Amino acid sequence: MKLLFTIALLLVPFASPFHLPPVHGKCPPTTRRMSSPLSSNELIKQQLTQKQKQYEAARKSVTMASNTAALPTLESLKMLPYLCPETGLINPDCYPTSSAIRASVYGIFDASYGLQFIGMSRNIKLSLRMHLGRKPDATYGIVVYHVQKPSRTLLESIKEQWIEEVGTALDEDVAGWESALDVKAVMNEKDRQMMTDAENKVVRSEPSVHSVGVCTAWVCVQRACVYSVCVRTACAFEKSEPMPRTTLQRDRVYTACVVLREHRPTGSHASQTLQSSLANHRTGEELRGGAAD
Amino acid sequence: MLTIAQVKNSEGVLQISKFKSEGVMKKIARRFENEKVAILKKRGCNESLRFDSALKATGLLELYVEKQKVDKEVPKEKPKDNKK
Repeated sequence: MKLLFTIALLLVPFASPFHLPPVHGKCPPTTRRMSSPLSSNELIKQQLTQKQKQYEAARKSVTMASNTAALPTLESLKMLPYLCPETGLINPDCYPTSSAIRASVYGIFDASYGLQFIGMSRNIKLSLRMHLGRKPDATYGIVVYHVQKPSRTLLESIKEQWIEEVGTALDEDVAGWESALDVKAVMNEKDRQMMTDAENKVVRSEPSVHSVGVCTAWVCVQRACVYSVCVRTACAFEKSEPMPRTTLQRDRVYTACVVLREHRPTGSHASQTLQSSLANHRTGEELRGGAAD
Repeated sequence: MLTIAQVKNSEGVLQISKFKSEGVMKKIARRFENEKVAILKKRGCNESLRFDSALKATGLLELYVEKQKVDKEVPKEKPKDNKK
């Protein structure tokens, strides 16, 4: 028995399938062993993506079929007046009645009942108000369709169907319906001239700068109104840094560089006082001497 | 002491010129606004239409939209302990 056991022990290393590989020997073919699970993983992934695509396509076709079946036509919807004739406000019948409604498609008609614009909105109340402000002469009738699911594809398909149904072209000025009026684009020659004049005002009033204000002027704090004008417009003091009004001391002389433009009306008390103070201004040194005296 | 040229180029003067052109732009925008309001009044509109004043200065004419208030307050009280 003992003998048999020893023989078995001796044979085990050679017979066992779990023997360790030799340290300096050739490595086992790991690539083959690893490649098979990887390939299977990839296969599973490919199958999964295929299945997902099939599922998505099927689902899309179902939703599209249901959407197209339920798409409302312009004829089936009732046209409402944009402004309520009794109250003069935007027709409240256009607004959604329940909180479940998430988005709306609406078509706006002009005075001759021609479709001008088709819009989509999550907040129709605000949108209609903005359209009234942007195009007050083209908002007479409205057709609204509320949607509970805010799907852009659904809303756009409704819009396309309405356009096909009408047949005529909508208002080309889409930007005019959807964004603010750009005044610069629509202003006339006279307005442009006014704008350029205003922009060049500083250059034009160059000669008047000296007469009105850039000089070494002495201004007492007692004349607070004058100071308020100076400090608000442009005032550079001796240390070439703006001095806030609160740090100025009463009855002290400051050498100041004053620029006064038509910040206040020319006939106002402030400008008159400054004009009179500038009329009899003296140089800074004279002033300092005078102040010492 | 700053020179005249420095004062002319200082921010204060530039701001005044900007202020001037903004005023003119507002004036022009207001003319277009009045045209729109006249049309709406003729139609018997009673909506309160207030045009955005800040936008007018930039050259745009649009109705004023009140911004929705966002609740940014941080709660000061300790959260209730639900475990007890």
